[in-house]
Amino acid sequence: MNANSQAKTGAMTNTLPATRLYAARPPQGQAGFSLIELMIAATISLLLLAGAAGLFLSNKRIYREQEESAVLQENGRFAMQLLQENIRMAGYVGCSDDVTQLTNNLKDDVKRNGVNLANLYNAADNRTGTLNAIEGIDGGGRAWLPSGSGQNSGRMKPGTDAISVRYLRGQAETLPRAMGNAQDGVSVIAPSGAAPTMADLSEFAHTIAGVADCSGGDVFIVTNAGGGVYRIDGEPVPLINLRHVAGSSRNKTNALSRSYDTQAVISQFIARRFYIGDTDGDATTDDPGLFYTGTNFSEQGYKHVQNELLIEGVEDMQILYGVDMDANSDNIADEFHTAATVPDWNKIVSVRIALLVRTLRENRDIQNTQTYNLLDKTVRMDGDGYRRRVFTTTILIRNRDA
Amino acid sequence: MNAAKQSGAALITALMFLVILTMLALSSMTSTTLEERMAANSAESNRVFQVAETGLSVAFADPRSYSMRNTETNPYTRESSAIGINTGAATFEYQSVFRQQTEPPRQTGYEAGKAAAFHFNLRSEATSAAGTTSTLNQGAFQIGPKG
Repeated sequence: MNANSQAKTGAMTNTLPATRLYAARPPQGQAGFSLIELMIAATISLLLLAGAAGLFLSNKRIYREQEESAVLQENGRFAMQLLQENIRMAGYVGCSDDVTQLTNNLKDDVKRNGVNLANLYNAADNRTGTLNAIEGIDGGGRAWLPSGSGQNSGRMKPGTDAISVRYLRGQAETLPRAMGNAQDGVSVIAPSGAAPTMADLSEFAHTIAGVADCSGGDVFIVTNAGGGVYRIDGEPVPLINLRHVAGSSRNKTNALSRSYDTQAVISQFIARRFYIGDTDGDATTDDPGLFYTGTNFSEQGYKHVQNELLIEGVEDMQILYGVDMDANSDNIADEFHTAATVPDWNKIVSVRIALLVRTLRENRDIQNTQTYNLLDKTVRMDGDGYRRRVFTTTILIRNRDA
Repeated sequence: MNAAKQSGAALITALMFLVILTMLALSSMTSTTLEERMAANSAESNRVFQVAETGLSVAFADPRSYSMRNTETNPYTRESSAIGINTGAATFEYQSVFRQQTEPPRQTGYEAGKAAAFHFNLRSEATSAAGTTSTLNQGAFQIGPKG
């Protein structure tokens, strides 16, 4: 035992010095770089890296440019679609197709949820006293034509045009039962299909509605709504009764111009104004966008909004109105006028519109000194870093096309 | 000089750059595809809208649109295939419903006691092969003797 352990210790003491000796020598195949080798390697990899980084950066720039121009196109297309849908419907009032045959029952100080709608719904034509299907501003900072009402539209960018439309919402429903007299509420079928609850009824309160048949119509604000299940042709039908009482900021009279029967339709009466404003609300107008005031776009939750941003980057809007000058109107535009020179707003049959849309971020690599033609206006850029594009379209006003 | 002795990071670096560039290219491809689809959709809805407009024009010119027998429950209906108009990748169908008889509108110049306006609702619906639809409604009236 003792001898055995002795032998082991002996063996260990023998190997130790040999290990030390081995570590002192550089191991084969693991020699370090010399300075020159290192420098060459660094230079080559730096060159390679620079090349790859250049490629990466230019790729990134291309990507950004593509993204920006895609957003620009999308904004332009969306803006045009919105404007087209609204302008096309201008003046729709159901079967009669004549906005001048509507009786406006709204008071001059009509409000909804504190939002003053006077200019939106009482912008009557100064000469005929009827509601206008279309109004315009030629160059920011002026009044609406032809009514002459104030702008009511935040800060309009100077030199840009604005347009205002009024119409009955397209999905009009026929009255489920006739009104007994002109002071009666106007009935609609409860959308829930069951006896209306308080929540259903409150949805309708303060809606600005239009009721119309083939010989004219009325515009009124719903002061309150009642409801219940009524028998029509022996069938139980859940109805909501829209009342229209006179009062300050509400209706002029308790009665509509006449009583309507089941040939009439009822729907929301929509008024919207589109203009170019400033998105950040500072003293300048260098962050432009397309704004609107009026009936909101949501399908649910009817309300009115003021100075809401629709689309960023819309820098300029120019509008020309196509007027049918023939005595026997053929509904073909003979002349195009700016809002300031339109001879008769009831003879407008089409609207030509041009939008100047720019990218959302400034790109320091470019200097835009191009000139853009927007119908009656020419804009020359002073060398900023935005790319731009002009969108132009002509819209037929369907409800002038008799 | 066998493989085990070689060192360096050229492959790894190159691969990393390749991956980054591929990701950039892929995401730009995705957004391009999306853009392409949006443009195609907008062109499609535009086309369908124009076909519906065509249908409305045909309905407007069709004398059979103006019959008081075209009731809500039994409207007068016609399809583009029955008319023989080539409307490309979309078809239209229009219908006419008699709505109401009123006094002739002021601008027509007809005397209220003797003539009447007969109002119709013309409706044209266009459908493309891809299933996009566009519906247009238009009111039209015809002046006739009162009665």
